[in-house]
Order: sequence, then C-alpha cells, then structure tokens
Amino acid sequence: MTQAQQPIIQIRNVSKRFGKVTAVDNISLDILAGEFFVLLGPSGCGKTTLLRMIAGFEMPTEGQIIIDGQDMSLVPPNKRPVNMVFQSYAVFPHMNVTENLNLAQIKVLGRSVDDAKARGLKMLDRVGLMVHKDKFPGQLSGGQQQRVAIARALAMSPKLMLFDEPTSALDPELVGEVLKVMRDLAQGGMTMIVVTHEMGFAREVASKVCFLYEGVVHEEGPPAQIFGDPKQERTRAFLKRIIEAGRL
Amino acid sequence: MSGALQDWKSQKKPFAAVVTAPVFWLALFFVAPMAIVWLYSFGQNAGPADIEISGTLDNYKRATEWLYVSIFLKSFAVAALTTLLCLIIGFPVAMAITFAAPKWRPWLLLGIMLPFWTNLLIRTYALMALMGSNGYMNKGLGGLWEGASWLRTLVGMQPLEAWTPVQLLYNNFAVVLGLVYVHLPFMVLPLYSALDRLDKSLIEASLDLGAGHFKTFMQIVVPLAAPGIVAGVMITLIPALGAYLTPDLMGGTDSQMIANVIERQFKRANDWPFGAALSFLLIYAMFILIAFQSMRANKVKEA
Amino acid sequence: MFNRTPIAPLEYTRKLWMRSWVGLTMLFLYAPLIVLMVFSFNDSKRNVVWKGFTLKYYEKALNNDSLVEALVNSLTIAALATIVSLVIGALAAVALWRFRFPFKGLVEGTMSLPIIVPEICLGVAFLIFFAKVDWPTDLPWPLNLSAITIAHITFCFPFVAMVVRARLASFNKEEEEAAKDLGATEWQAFRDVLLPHIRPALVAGALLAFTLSLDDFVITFFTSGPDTITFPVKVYSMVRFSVTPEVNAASTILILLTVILTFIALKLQGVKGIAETH
Repeated sequence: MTQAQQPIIQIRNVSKRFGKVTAVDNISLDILAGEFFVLLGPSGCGKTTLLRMIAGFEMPTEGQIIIDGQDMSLVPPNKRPVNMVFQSYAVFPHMNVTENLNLAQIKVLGRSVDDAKARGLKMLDRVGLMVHKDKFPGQLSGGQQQRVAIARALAMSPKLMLFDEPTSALDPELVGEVLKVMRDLAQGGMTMIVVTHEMGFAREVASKVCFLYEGVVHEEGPPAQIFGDPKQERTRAFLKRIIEAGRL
Repeated sequence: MSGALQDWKSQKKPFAAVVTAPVFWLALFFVAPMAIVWLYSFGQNAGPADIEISGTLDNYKRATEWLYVSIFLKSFAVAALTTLLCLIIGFPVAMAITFAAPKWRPWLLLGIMLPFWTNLLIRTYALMALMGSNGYMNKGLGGLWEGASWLRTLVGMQPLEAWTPVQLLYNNFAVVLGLVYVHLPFMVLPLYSALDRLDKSLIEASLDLGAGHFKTFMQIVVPLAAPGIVAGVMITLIPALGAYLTPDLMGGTDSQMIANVIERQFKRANDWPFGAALSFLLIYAMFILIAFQSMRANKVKEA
Repeated sequence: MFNRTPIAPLEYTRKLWMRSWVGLTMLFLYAPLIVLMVFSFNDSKRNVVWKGFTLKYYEKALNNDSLVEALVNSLTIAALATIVSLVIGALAAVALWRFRFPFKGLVEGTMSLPIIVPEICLGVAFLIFFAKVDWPTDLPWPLNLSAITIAHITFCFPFVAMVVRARLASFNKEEEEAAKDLGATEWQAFRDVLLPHIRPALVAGALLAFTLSLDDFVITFFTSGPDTITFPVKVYSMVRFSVTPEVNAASTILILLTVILTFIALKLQGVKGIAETH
C-alpha cells in the first residue's frame, strides 16, 4: 500500500438527540473497505441509532456521515450506496422471493428484466435458496426469509452492508444458517457493519469491534483485544453478563 | 383458536341462561319486524289503513321504473364519490397519525374520534350554518373573489363585479360535502389500524433499496394496507348509500337519495308495500356489496 | 428551536404538506362545531356577526319546556337502552364465545345484521312492527318511551356483543377452570373471574351504546309518537322550521356532554383502548 487507505465510512462528531435523550453522543469512527465492523453494547447504548443514521433512516442532530468520500449526512436512504438487513427481515410479504429480489433492480437501477433475474438468482444461489425462488415469504422459515433479505440487498451491489441484529428475531436453531451466509460474505470481501449479540461469531469473524455505552464509544479494537483483554471496566462487566447468559 | 368450545348439551343450564335473552330479543324485535316488512313488500293497499299480503310482485316491478332505478344509481354514485373523497382526504391523515411521535398519536386519534362521537344531526346542522348564504364559507369565497378582483386591477384589468353570495346549500355538492364531513372518521380509523399494524421496516427496506416515497407508497404501503382500505371503503360506502339525514337537510329537490324515497312512502305517500319493497332492495344491495368484499377476502386468504 | 434535527424519512408527520393536510382536515372537522358553539353566545338573531356575549339563548333553551323534555327523554332512553344492551350483549358474547350449539352460524349472522342493515330500513321495520302489534301509545312516562327504547336496544346490543367478544378472546380459560377447581360454582366463577376480565369491554360497550342511542335520529324518527319527542327529533324539527340561536345553545350543551363522556371514557380506558373498540 503506497498511501493510507481511504475509509469507506467516516463518522465525524455525530450526535443524535431524541428530545432530551441523547442516543448518540459525539461519536467519531472510521471504517475501512473490506472490514467486518461489529458494534457491541447493552440495549439502548445507541448502536442501532448509529446504524440507522448510516442507512439514512435517522438524521444526525450534529456531525457528518461521509460515505465513500461524500458527505451524506442528510441524503435520504434511497440515494445512499448502502443496504440494510433488518431484525424483522422486512421481506415484502405480498411478493414472492424472485419479485422481492428483482423489483428494486428493475425499478431503481434500471436493469433489464433478464439482467435483474440473472443477478437475483446468482445471489439467491449464494445464500443457498435457489429451490425457494417462487415461494412467498410466508412459506419460508425466519432464517430463510433473512437470507432472502441478504440476497435482496446483495443484488443491489451495495458498497456497504448494514446488519441490525439480523439473528435476534430467529429461533436458536435457525441462527447458524444466517451467520454462515454472513461469514461467507465477509470472506468475499464485503464491507459490513453489524449490530449483534452473537459474541462467539463476532469474536471469530470481526476485523474490528467497537463497544458503545450510553451513546459513547468506550473501547474499540480487534476482537482478540476486546474479548480477551478489555481495558475498560464497563466492557468487562458487559462481557461478563453476556457470558453468564451463555451467549459466548 | 376455539378449541376449548363447550358443547351446549354438556352444560344445558348455563347455556340456557346466557343464550335465551339475546336469541329471544333478536327473534322478537329484529327478525319479526324485518319479516313483516318483507311480507309487506309482496302486499298491496287494501284500504286506508289496511294492507293485504297478496303475494304480488307489483311493488318490485314498480321499483324497476326508470325513476327509481335512476335514484338507486344516483345514490350509489353519490356514496361512491363520498367514499373516494374520504379515502383521498383520509389516507394522508391516517399516515400522519401512524407516523406521529408517540406522545401526539393519541391526541390526533382523539381529534378524529371526537366528531365521530358527536351527534350526527348537530354536526350536519353546524355545517349547514357555515354553508348558508350568510355563512362563513360564503364570506371566505367572497374574500377570495375580492382578492382576485383586486389582483385584476393591479394588472390594469377591469375589476370583477361585486360578490353576490352563492347558494352552497340545497344541491348535490352540499350533499356530497355533508356526507364526507360526517363519514370521514369512519374511513380514517380502519386505515389507521391497518397502517399501524404494518411493519415499519418494510417501508424502510423499500427506501433502503432505492425506491422513493411515491414508489414505496404504491408498491408497498397500499398493497399491504389493502385490508384496511377495503374495510374503510365498506364502512363508509354502506352508511353513505343508506343516508337519510344529509340529503334530506342539505340536498335540493333533485338530491333525493334512496332513503328519502323510502321515507316518503311511509309518511307522505303512504304506500307502505312499495316502501317495504324499496327497503329490501336497499338491503339486498348491501348484501351484494358485502358478498363482494368477503369473496375478495377469501381470495386473498387462498393466495 | 433553531437547530432542529433534519426530518428523517419516516417522520411523515413533520413534513409541511402533511401537517397542512392534517391541519386542514381538523379545521374541516372542527370549524363548523366551534363556530356553532361560539355563536350560541352571540347576542344577535342573525348568526354571522358578533354582537356581544350573552347567555340568553341558554336561558331560552332551558326554559323551552318541549326542548328540555326532549333532552330528558333522550337521556332516559339512552340510559335504559344502555343497561339492557349491556346485559343482552354480554350474554350473547359469552354464549358465542363459550358454547358450540346448533344454528350457531345463523344466530351469529343474524346478530350482526342490525349493524349492517341501513338505519332507514330498521326504522321502517319498527314503524310497521309497532303499528302491526298495536303497541300502546298512551302510556304514562317513562313507559311511553318503550317503543323507542326497544328499537335502540336492538341496534345497540350487537355492538356491545362485538366489543365484549373481542375482549373475551384474550381470556385465559384456565383461570376459570382453576376457580372451579377451587370449588367455585358456575355462577361464582362467572361473577368473580370472567366478569372482572370483561369489565373494560363493558365500560367501552356501555359508552358506545349510550352514544349510539343518544345520536340516533332516523330510527327514532320512525318510532316516536307526538308525545315522545327525543332531542335529535326536536332539533330536526327546529332546524326544518327555522334556524334559531336556541338550537345553537342546545347543541352546545349536547356537544359538551359528548366531550365530557369521551373524557370519562379516556380516564377509564386510555385513548388506545377507545381507538381499539372501533
């Protein structure tokens, strides 16, 4: 590398207040291309709000969000080169799997029906759901729906993918299949920002972990350090609780 | 869901205790009166206060005369237009309530519901007072008119002639406006409850995938809120079709709807058998509407 | 607030056109009522220009014996209809929720009919019915209101049944079984376990029935005799003859009554609970 790599996301002094409550308090972060960036923290720490600001569903009260060199703080979500995977899957229930995959490619990216179909099926194959291409979401399990959602986001060729607790609405036996898809994606070089409570998975796959507490970045670093040798008391306490709950 | 239903035979006494009163009431004070109307619709006037149920179909035959068919059609058109206007006005309102901050939502809902609880006659009367030739609506229009006149003088044109109050009441326009005024809450509430049930992340997912607000609305919100839209349409269309008070008070001589014609048969025209036949035709029209809706609902269920 | 957070995509309610739309709709809904209420205090026969504050039309309205009588009649009918509707509606709800019996579908369907059948048809039916059975019309008060009350009960109790049944769906039958297991009789189990569970629905149903009864014009119009005028029928005839400030005053009283009732309901149930009953 001849020059310092330009971060794909630069979060500059971002704060978000809901009325009197400060959800995110002056956070600055850089995320590099190809990173698997995990946001950790107790509920209400601001990690989902931060993710939703990157996606464009919430507007920062202060600060900038720079995506790929452009200030996108106030750009609406439909104009951002990022795609989100939701906790509740958000697969459109009135369209079958293929329609879910193709609609935005055709209507938004202007791809031809054939191109969209080809790309959609490729992505469906990647998440291992080729056999279900004509089914409706209601006929699929939660894990399968979530994989359709991932394929749908992938079909839009995003520069960056956001995952908002993608496995927390799933039955325990279905979590593995979604994590496997995410692991494959990470190995394929996709840049991902992930909010999750799957600590074992985060420890194994993440390139960087960031621990948030009350809207502030408490600790940031490679997973080995955060999980193995946390510097902050709060991080330790949080991890201890999670371990006691049997999630690590 | 109802797996724990008990057979009536196993608990005859409690069953009798709960079922007797409602069934008795329904039979005596609903089924019997309706049955008499139904029988009367096959009868004819046999004297000043005597009706003979002769099994004649004359009343129904008379109802197919163009005069009555046209009133039926017109009632339907007025009700449909009212429903459409309620839908257009009500949808953004329902959206606004759904996406309002949690502390505002109950108050907005209350704002829609309070008129709904207020006496229909008083609301109609209040609207009429506003629309009268000396009412505020006329004053507002007069103000606009004078404003336009003043604008014309600014650009060097002749001013418009002086404003004369227009007749806003006692015409078809007034009837539709009155029906919209009265029925708007009926439309907003089911729309709101459908939108409230809609998973917000579906809308976010659509925006996230690059669709704008309009596309998202047409492709995601409308199809998924369809049950609420259908419910709102039915709940507005049915009472609007049978409306009596609004056309009676706000309509002109040519704004009669079917309910007014029925009323006339029982009061002024004193032709009860014909009124009974018209009543049942109106009820059958309702049944057809409801059958359409449930057919559609079944279709959706199968898909 | 100068430094406002920009509007997020789903904050539709913060968008200007949306706010104007809601504002105009509320104006449309409330302006007529507010103008009516304000001008009930206006010291002028002609309704449009403010001539000063007066209570004389309230005095007039309250001294208008037939208007007061009509209001008393309306409230009496509404109270009676509410009580009976509550009992019959709750019984019907329990019967449909609890038992499997022959012709259940028929009973259920018939019970929803008074809600669907147009008011005018129901009104006509009662007119014919009470004429046919020679229902006595010269009874002393309040028995002379019986025909109207019966008609009101018929269209009110299915609403009560609907609300109560929705509430029953969330009842845990094991509670009742546990009560019986502890030695409660059928009646005790009903009174001490089931009834407390459906109480909120009974309150909602009562308010609904009361409002529906108080509101009804068309059906009453067909069932009322010359001596049994209700408030809406009285207002109707006053409006037909001439618009007087007295009607404004009387209407204001009734609007305030509605608002008070709604706020009592609110206190008891919360806004959400009320919204769900519709």
